[in-house]
Amino acid sequence: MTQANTVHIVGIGSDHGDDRIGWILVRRLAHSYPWPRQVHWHCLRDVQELLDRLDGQGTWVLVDAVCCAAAPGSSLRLTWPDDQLPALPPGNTHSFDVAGVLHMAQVLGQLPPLVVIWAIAGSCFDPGAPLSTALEAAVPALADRIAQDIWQLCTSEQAARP
Amino acid sequence: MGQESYSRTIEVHALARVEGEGGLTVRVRDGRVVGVELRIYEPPRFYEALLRGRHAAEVPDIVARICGICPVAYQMSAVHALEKIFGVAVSPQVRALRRLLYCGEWIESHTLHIFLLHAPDFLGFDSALSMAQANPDLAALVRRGLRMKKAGNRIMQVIGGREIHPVNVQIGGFYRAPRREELLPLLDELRWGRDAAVETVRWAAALPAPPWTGGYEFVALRHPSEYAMNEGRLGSSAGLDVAQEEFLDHFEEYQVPHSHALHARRRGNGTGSYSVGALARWHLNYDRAPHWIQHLAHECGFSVPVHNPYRSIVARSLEVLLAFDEAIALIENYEPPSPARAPVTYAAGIGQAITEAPRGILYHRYETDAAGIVRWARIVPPTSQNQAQMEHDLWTVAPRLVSLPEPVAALEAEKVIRNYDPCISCATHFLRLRIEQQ
Repeated sequence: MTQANTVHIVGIGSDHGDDRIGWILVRRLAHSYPWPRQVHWHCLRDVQELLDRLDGQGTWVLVDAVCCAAAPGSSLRLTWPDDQLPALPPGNTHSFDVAGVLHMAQVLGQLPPLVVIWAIAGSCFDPGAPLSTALEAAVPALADRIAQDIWQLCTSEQAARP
Repeated sequence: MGQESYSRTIEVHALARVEGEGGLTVRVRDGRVVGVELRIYEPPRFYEALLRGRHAAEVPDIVARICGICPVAYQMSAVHALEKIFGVAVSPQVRALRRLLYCGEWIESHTLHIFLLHAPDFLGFDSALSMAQANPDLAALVRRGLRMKKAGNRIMQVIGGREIHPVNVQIGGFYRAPRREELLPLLDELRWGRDAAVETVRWAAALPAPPWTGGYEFVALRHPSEYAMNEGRLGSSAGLDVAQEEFLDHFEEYQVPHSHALHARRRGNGTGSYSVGALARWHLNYDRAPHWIQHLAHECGFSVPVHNPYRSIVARSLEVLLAFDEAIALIENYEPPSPARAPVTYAAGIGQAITEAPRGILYHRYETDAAGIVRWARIVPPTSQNQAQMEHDLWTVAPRLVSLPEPVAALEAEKVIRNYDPCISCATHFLRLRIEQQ
């Protein structure tokens, strides 16, 4: 069971090209800073696993690659709910997307009070491809930006504790 | 007054709540249905060609990638076929562990279809999400389904190394056998799941199913003493009873212009269409289910023969119950196989095997050379085999669709397809409905 002040950082991705950026950033962040114990790290391949883990508590930061027109390596920080995170048509396949999982979590009463989504623009999602050079170059700056966000979230969680 | 010719096309461009991409066209001329096409346009994936030249040891992990919902089925059919070539006899403990792994897949695949994909059809919702939003009882139903699914996924994770595309299966057994203390913690949730599955059978049996007339030839494995999963002879409700190796003597694949997936037909049974999957399995194996589960089915009004495809949800629910019950027994009696894998000597030969994927019989045939390199591979997935039957069912309902408004007609056509829990990614591998009035 997640404690109310726990901050979960979740990298979502796969082994395919820039889709791995969520994993890379989460692993880098986990090992780069002396994080407080309240921070927990996860790397997920199947976003549906997220639904199993959300239990209506804590703060959740999701880091995921997106395929969009923005320059590779550019990032967008969203707070759920946000219209910029469109859901796929309901139930189109056996899979959920991030928005589908969060919608379902909300309906089932499992949605935490705060869910932050870092969307990282990728360019190459070919099967088995390595991270693109554009994203590789952007990793340090992205990690710094997300790290600052996590620190702020931890600080505000601590400040909010009775 | 001369009668004016009237034609109409009902089309579902992209079928929802199925795995994969496909469409559906119903052509109507002068109020009469003249054509039905289940169009699978998801691109072919050429797995059989991809396997040629690969070593047999690689096959279980490659074929697992065919499907994210039923990877175990692909692994099981593959290892059984290859073990026949190499003369491998697996230990009873390996056999039991494979059955437990398959139980995990049946639970996760069936519960996903029952609660998230199929239930909205019976309860008048467009998705599980809107169903869960409707009221607390339905939200609890979805929550129950997700929890049951998770229990199945946990079995796959512990035995297979991960929930999707498990990596622990190999010819002769497993790379690593889980320790008893790794499996025992699953029991509490599986016992909860068995109780939840009993409730699910009662709930599914009470769902309103549209009336249906017409018969099927049900095809499934049948085992002398157990509900068939990994082993058995190939049987049908029309009296077929042959060895797995005779599959191609009795069934043939053929191409149709409108689908990237091969269709399959039973040689010499008229239309050739036949039905595989949970409903077929229950028909041919219900007497192998534990007596209390047979009794529950009877008590719920689900006594064979059941020739109504809308009631496949009951058959799936019964199989979920059976899988929970069996998984509990297998874990309680678990002895880790030691060694985890029987020795394998690669050899030239031909091996064929069928196992029961959640959606029905899955046939694999391999030819290898003396070094164990795959020279030829053939895979006949269950959704391919059900395609002709799905089209046949659409012919049955199409006259009723003609008079309905387009969205209603499309939805009713989709329901017919979802009765089969098709996995188009496997078959090609789905759905858009188009009704053409000509």
